[in-house]
Amino acid sequence: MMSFVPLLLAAILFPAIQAVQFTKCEMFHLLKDMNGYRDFTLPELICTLFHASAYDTQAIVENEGSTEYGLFQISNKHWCRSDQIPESRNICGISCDKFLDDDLTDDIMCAKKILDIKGIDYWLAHKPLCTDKLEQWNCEKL
Amino acid sequence: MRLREPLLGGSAAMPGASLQRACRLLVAVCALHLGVTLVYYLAGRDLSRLPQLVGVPTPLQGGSNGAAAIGQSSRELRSGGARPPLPLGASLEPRPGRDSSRGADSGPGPASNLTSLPLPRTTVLSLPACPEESPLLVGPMLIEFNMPVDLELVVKLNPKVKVGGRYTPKECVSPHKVAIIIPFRRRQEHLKYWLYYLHPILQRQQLDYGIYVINQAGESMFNRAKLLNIGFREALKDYDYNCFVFSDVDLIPMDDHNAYRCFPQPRHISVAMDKFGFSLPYVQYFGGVSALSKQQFLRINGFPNNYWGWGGEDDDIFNRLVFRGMSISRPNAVVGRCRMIRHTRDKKNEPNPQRRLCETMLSDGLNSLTYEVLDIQRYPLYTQITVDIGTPS
Repeated sequence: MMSFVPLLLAAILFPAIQAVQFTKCEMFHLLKDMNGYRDFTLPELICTLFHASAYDTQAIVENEGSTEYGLFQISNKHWCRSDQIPESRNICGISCDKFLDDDLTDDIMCAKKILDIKGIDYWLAHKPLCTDKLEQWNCEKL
Repeated sequence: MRLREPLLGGSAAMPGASLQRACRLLVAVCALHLGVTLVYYLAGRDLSRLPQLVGVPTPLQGGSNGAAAIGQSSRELRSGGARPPLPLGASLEPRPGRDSSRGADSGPGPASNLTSLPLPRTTVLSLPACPEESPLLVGPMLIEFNMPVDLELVVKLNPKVKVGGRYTPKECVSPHKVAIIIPFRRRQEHLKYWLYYLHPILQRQQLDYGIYVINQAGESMFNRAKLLNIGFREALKDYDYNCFVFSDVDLIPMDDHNAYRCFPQPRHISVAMDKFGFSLPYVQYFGGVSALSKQQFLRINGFPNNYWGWGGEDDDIFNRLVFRGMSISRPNAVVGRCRMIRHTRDKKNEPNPQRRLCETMLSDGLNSLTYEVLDIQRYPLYTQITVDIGTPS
């Protein structure tokens, strides 16, 4: 009976420690401090992230010799440090696999830097898919 | 018998023997009707056996039975009135009176011209156009992938489908000449499910259709859109299709009201996939299963040839359509539900590598399509065209 309790706790906590795939409305809450950053609205950003990573914090995608990490699909080519590209400038000063956990503060920090330096077109889906029909990216529950 | 007694008893009081004869005639006709119903019931729904029951030599096999017999028999019954076909020598029902036996004797006579199966000339002239919505649809269906599929059984279950996966409705003339193009590489198990579920659905939708599986040879990255372009080209060598349905091999509709044919605007068919929680992932989504008429397809110079690997080409196609002033037509989200065979990770979407939308409609498409056909196989349920499409340049 006594050994049951830690087992139960483990069973409860196990799902909690896995990476999360958020819903659109959860994204609104999580990214609220990006609203209006560089004049981009939240629906626009959330649309962009849907096409980049489908809101999957664990998304890791190979892309022609480089790799893109996490919710914002930040590339190890210039923005973070990884073994694949040791010569990367690592503009965000961070190891790429830090973008694969559920703590989004570092992801958001680096995404802001990307917006500052490169702009929204870093995310290639933005221009064709996130400049109009933005109503579909609103969250009615707010 | 109890029902007849009051009638006979009452006829004694009725004025005139002629009325009595009329009543007998009426009863005879009713019995005839019941007899014919019994014949149809006993023959099951397999009306291809009806000519045999009537004693007429069975005519052309393949494509001219079943549905044709329905049309033939029902037309005959409407016009022929008192002489429906009767089984010769069958002791299935009592023969109430002389009329029926005369009918039986002359069954193969004048009636045979009608019951013997239609030679194309007379049939085409007398076939009506298929209705806007097929009366054969059943609505929502149960789609499962937990049982193995034996293609030989599927062939038996769809006897009207001709070699190469071709079917033309025989009960009416369909305006929808549809080539269904499936981009393919090493997905034979998925294809089996697709054929098992879709052939009955497409026939119920009364489409004049053919199935084309375009198989990419070699090991380069899969190029879905280029394979679809090739399907368009190759299918037109067989028949003057006017509509092209482009379907991934692992998507099955859950409601046969979701029409696999073309509409005045480009049609998106897989609008509510289970993978996306039975909803449209985004408004501009045009992937999965779609239908373009020949004109719509030509208007956008077909599809881009330069999308190697997963993703992006469906967004490009959407852009082309919008650029040409077209909009996407869709069924509602209930009718548009689809099941995907492949069990993916439980994610709403799989991110694909970030890639620029090429916006090269004028230079990249049908007008720049190059490929080599390595092999064409006409299987009973589909035509498979194996092609070498080159490599990313």
